[in-house]
Amino acid sequence: MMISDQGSESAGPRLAASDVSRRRVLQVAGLGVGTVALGPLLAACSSSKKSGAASDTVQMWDWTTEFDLAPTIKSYEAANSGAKIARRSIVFNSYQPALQAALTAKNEPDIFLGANLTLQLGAANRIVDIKQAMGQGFLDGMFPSINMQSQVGDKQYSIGWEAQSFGIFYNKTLLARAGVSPPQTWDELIRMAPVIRSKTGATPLAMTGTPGNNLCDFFMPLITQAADDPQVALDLDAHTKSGVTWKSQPVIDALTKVKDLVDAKVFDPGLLAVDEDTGRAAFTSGKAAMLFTGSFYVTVLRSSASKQFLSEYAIAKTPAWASGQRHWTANQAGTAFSISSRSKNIDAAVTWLKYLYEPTRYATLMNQTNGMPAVKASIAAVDSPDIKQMAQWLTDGDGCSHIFFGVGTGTALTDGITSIIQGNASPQAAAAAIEDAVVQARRR
Amino acid sequence: MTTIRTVRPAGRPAAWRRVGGATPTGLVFIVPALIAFGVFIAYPLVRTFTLSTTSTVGFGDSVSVGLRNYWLLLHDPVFLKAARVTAIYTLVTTVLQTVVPLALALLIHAGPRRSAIIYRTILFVPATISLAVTGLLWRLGFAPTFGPVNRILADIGLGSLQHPWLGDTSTVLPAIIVVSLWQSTGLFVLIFHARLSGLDPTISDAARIDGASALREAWSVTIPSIRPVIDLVVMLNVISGLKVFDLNYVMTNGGPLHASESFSTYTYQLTFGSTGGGVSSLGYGSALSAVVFLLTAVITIVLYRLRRSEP
Repeated sequence: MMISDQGSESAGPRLAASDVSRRRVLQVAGLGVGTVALGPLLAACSSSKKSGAASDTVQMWDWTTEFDLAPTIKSYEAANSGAKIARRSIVFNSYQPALQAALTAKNEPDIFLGANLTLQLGAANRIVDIKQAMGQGFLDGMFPSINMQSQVGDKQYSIGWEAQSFGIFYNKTLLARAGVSPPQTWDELIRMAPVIRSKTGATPLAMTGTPGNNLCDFFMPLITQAADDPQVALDLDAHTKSGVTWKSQPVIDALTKVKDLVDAKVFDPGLLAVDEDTGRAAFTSGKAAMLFTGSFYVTVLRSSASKQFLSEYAIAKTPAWASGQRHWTANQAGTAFSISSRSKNIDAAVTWLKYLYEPTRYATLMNQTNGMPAVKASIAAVDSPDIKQMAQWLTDGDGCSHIFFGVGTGTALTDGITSIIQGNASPQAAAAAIEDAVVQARRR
Repeated sequence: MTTIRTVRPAGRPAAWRRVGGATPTGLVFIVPALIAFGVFIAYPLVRTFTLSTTSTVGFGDSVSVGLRNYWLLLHDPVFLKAARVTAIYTLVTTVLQTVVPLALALLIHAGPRRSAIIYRTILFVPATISLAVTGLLWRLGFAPTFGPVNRILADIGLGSLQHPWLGDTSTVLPAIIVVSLWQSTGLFVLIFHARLSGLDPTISDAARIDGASALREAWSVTIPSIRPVIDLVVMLNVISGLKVFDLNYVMTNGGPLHASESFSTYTYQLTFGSTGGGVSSLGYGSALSAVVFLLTAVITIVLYRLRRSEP
């Protein structure tokens, strides 16, 4: 405050003392800050459903956007008074980051697809033992390989929803023009590759080569073929047994086979730039004679390809390592549900899952989307001839692991295979690099 | 004569008058901003540093490992690749995304005013598309079989130049840089042209009267006049280069063989698990985030000091 020598106040503008006081300003500001902070605080409290009382709403996350569960949810809620199912479908590429964030925030849904995190989640006791929750009898109806993929000791951490198998989708017209039949072995494919190119102008075999799980889907069964023993790939992925190393002979042999395929120009020269959409488009437009992909492609193909093309394609087994040997191919569940151990709705979650797996209902859902059932008894109810054919491979015992659960496996394998395709490394060097990468990833 | 003297009201200690140049009342009004800073910047920063000293996947046990994650980073070939890729990307895009827009802005400025509006609009269109959509479009554009880039090369008789641009470790980064240049040129042209339009025309007139050619005039008169804007554009490009994510993630996911792996895409992969699966390494990813933060801070401070030290 400025006061003149004469004791009077200066002529400058000033507020009357009664208008604003420091205490009043602090009160108003504090109220404002408190109001602003209240919103996020309330949101944080309400989202932490685990800390409150159990609600009857079962939260469920998946990436199976093709399944329309709305009618099933409606009928379940009508039949179970007070029960509510809140389902959230997230596209595949965004699913795991979303799940990881939810798990870290301890805010995961009651039911979710654990994917590659399943075994780690089980080890951290973040998901329940499904055997305890749903009973061994319930699980006995699943394909053994699907149960095994999430078993640790005598516990099992997920229940398979939809099985997968991989094979060669081929264009009958193009192969006929080239005068060849679907290859029974990889060497046969190598021999027919130049013939297909010269007589049709098409890429012999299209496949996804961009970073992701696709190259591993191709390569893991190849290791099983090289070893003729499905346990080898499982042990490599787990990487816990003494003496197990990615520098082993089956891996080197499998990498050598990849190199032979690349050198024979079986794949598109730009394979590493071929993503899933491009590979599929090449197949359905006649630019590729064959496509290596999984049973999940059937529903996409039936809904997107032209009517003419639907009569031109057929499916063959994955080529075998050598004539007379097993056509080892993928047999695990691409989608398998787990139940959060922190859930306050475990009983409600189990009840809902058992409702979903009721045989008639489950078979109907699978047929609606051309899905491959993970339940053995449901194979008989499959309408789709394609799915029936691919499922038969599993019941024939040709199945082996194709999904990696071990720490570091995915990235290491992708890099190793890519270095072979790029021509940067020999099979031995690539195998050593895979081993080094897995060891380093497990040190973190 | 009346003089003014300042009298402190009774009961208010001197220390309360001003705190760091601000009155207590002023401090109260910046409290909401301070809270927001604390919640969204300071806390995550501190949490990142504390997480970086642990080994955790994010949902299990967290084990304290001290500075081991930083030690592992120094011996991580993918981290070293990402550092190289980020450095090259930042350097090249900074140069290209400064020089090319500046040259275009000078050309547009030298032409008729009416055509300047048309050129600026055309050049700015790519900048209106989000980076994710841009990446998707160009991923299709560079597709080896169906992509228009290879098709156009074939159609104009340059079929021998057809290439799997995004599938070759030697061409993937240049391809992404071209896309970045395409996307950002319009914005920087706009910035430069706005500054050029504000220059005093008499200086250029004087240079021309003295016999300076157009190039000489641009180099010796115009460019020095807009130096602060050039510095700003350089700084923006450096920061944007260091944190590049969208284009690399959408177009190639860092591949092939990490040839387009930037710090950000590698951090994302480590923290959330690689696309299509994989277990995350939250502690290790946090260590990488911390390193990138420190690196960015140092570079930004150096650039800022260089700007301030210039006459």
